[in-house]
Amino acid sequence: MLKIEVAEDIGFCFGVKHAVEVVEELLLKGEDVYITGDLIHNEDEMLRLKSMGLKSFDVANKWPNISESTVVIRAHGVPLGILEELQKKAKRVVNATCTVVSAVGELIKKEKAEGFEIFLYGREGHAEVEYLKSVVGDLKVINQEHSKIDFYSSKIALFSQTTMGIDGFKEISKKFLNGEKLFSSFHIHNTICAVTLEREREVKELAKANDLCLIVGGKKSSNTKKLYEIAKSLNQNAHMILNVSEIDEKWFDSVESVGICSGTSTPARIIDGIVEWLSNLKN
Amino acid sequence: MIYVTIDGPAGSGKSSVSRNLARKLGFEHLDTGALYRAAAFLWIHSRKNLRSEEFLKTMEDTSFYLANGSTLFMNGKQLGGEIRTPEVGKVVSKVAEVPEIREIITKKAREIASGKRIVVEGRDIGTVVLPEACVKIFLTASVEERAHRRYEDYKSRGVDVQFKEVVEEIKLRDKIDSTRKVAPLKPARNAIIFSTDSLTLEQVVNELYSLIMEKIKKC
Repeated sequence: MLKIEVAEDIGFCFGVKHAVEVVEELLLKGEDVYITGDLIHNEDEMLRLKSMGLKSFDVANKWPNISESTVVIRAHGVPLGILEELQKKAKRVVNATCTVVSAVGELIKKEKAEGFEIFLYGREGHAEVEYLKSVVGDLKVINQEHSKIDFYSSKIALFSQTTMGIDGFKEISKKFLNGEKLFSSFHIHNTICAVTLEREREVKELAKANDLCLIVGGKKSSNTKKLYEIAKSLNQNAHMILNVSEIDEKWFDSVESVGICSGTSTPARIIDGIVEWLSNLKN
Repeated sequence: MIYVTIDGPAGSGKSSVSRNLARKLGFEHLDTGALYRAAAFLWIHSRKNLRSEEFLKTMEDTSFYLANGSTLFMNGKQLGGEIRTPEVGKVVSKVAEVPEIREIITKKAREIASGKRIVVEGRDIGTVVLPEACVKIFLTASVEERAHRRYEDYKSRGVDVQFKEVVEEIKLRDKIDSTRKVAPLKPARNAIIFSTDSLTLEQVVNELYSLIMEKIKKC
C-alpha cells in the first residue's frame, strides 16, 4: 500500500481565494466580466471560471469593447498605465490584486521617495514584476542570472517578488554586501509572501521524507515552480503536475511513499483528486 | 465546469439516473460505459489481439465527441444499438480489464468532460477518471433488482434473452469488476453512497438532485 503524505498547507492562499471569489460573485450577479491575461496561474481553475462566463483578453493585442463590462484586476496586479486605461474604457474596474503584492508596491514607492535605488529579486516577464516595475520607473530586476550587480546610489533598497525562494533572496543580499562598491544604507525588505515561505519549508520535509514528491500547480505559477525546484534538488523523483491526468503510473513502480504539496493557486479539489487516484493505485 | 460523477455496478440504474439527472440539472451527460462498449465493438470487428499495438493504436486514433449534450459520436458517426447487443455485453468486461485500454478511455473521457458542466457515469469516474469532481455518487442495488432492470431493458429493445442469463451476466460482471487489478469497482472516499432498491427512477432522481444542488454550492 502506497503511503501518501499531503502537506498541511494546501489549496488557495488568501490572495488567490479572494480573487476567485470576486470573479465568482460578479459572474453570479450576471455581469459581463473580463480579466487581462490570467486571474491566477492555474489552467484548471481558469478553465472553470471561463466555463462560468469569465472572458479574457491580452492587453498587448486589440482590446474588445469593454464599455459595458466589469474588468477584474488579476491577483498579480497590472501595470499602472494599463490600470488607468482600463478605468477609462471599462464600465467598472474591480481590483483583485493580492494585498501582499500591493503592499510591496507601496513600500517600494516609499523607499523611492526617500531617495533609495530600488532592486527587485524576481523574474522578468512575470505579471507581478511587470506591475511593480510600473510603480517605480527605474526599478531593476535581478536574479541568479546576473553575475554582477551594478548600482549608482549610496542608498540601496532590495525587495523580492512575493513568490521567490528565500535561499535565493539571501544569496542576492549577500552579493550586495560582498561587492566591492560601498553604500551608506542598504535596506533589505524580505517581501516574500509568508504563505509561500511556509510551503517552502513543508516541501523540503516532504521531499526528504518520501520516495517520490508531487508538486501540483499551473505551468506559469512562479511559486509552484519554486517548490518544484526545491523538491527536485532534494529528491530526484520530484514531478510537477497540473492535475491527475499528468501522472504517469510508471513513476510508482518501485515507490512506497509519496509526498504532495501544491502552489498557492492550486484548488484543493485537485489535491483531493490526486489522493483519491493514488489510493486506488496500489491496493 | 462542474463535474458530477455517478459510479456503480451493472444494473444499479446508473444510465437512466444519470440521463435524467443531467436533464434536470441542465448538464451534459457522458456514459463511459458506452465508450467501453464502443471499444468492445471495435475489437469484435477488428480481428486483432486485444493487447496488440495495432488495436491500441486504433483505439488511440478513435475520436469521440458529445453532440447536443448527450449524443455520443465515434469517428463522426453516431453510436446506437450496435454497441448495446448481448454480444458486446459479453466481452465488454474483458476489454475493460486491459489497463492500456482503460488508460486510453480514461484520457478520452477526461477530454470530453473538460471544462463542461457534466454528469459522467461509469465504474471508476469518482476514483480514477475525474477524482477532482465536485459531487460523487455511488449507486448500489441488490443483484435481483439489478438483473430485473437489465432484463427489462433488453426486452424493451427486443433482445431475446432469459432472465436467468441476465442474473448470471450481472453476477459475473460484479465479480470481475470488484476483483480486477485495474480500477476495481469501489466508491470514492468522499462519495455519497445511495441505494436505489425499491425506489422509483423519479424518486432517485429527485433525491439526488437535492443532494447535488446542496453540494454544488461549495464546489
